[in-house]
Amino acid sequence: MSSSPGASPVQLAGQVGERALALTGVLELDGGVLGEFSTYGNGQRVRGVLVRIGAAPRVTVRLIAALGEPLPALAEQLRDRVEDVLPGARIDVAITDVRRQAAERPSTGGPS
Amino acid sequence: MTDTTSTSTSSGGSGAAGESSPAQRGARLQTDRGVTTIDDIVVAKVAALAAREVDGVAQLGGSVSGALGSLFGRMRDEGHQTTGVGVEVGERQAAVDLTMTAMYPASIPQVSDSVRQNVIDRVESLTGLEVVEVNIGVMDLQFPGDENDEEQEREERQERERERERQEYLQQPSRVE
Repeated sequence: MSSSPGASPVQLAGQVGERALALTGVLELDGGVLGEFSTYGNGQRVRGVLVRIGAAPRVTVRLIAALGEPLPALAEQLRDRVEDVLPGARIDVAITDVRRQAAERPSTGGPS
Repeated sequence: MTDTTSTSTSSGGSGAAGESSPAQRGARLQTDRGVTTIDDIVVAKVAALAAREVDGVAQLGGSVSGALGSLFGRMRDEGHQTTGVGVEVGERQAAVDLTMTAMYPASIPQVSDSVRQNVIDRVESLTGLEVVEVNIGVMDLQFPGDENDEEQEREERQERERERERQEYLQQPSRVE
């Protein structure tokens, strides 16, 4: 899953999103209320990740973090993880909310 | 009954030895590789939790806003609401305004000092923002008896709720013997 030179923004965004979510401190990517912070292309879109290629390549990741996580360190971890997706790109990280991690999990797969 | 105390702390209080200064921590939000931004709600949640941790804080907000806040908070299933907390967040710095109900007979200056220190510590260590100001308004006092009543009442209400759900579940026609 290395970055081929001709990869489209939406492919790159997908890789960035995957790697971001693999971090334990990242609970969700945040595409905004209307999903306006997304990268589009090829009939798909990646919410919460903006990728701009060109002369000044830039990646913006909007995420909801786990409460208690030191956020500047989390952002640095994220930059370490995704910088080789689009080498030389500036990686901006926006922390849009924090939540308790434990409170997130039980809601999935509840028996009811 | 409003007692407002405020302090500006440019140094972020007595930082522990060996820790980076708030200015340096703030700088970590602006790196060569990109910028990290922290939304208001993040700072508000961290500040609210830090304030509530302090002994002598009955709740955030006054008694009315506290009651409404906990009601709405529960309705939205929001574990850590930000009732009574206002923040201003810049690129490197943040200011926090909060209102609270103090526990009688705790010393209000001592409680507010502890709240201020805890809010500064938490917000600075978790968000990397330098906290330049924590303004605290003590809006009301709560007396030990009140608190017990309220807490008990809340527990009883939750217990009744659970019991009712249990009954409803048991009475579902799908349960055939």
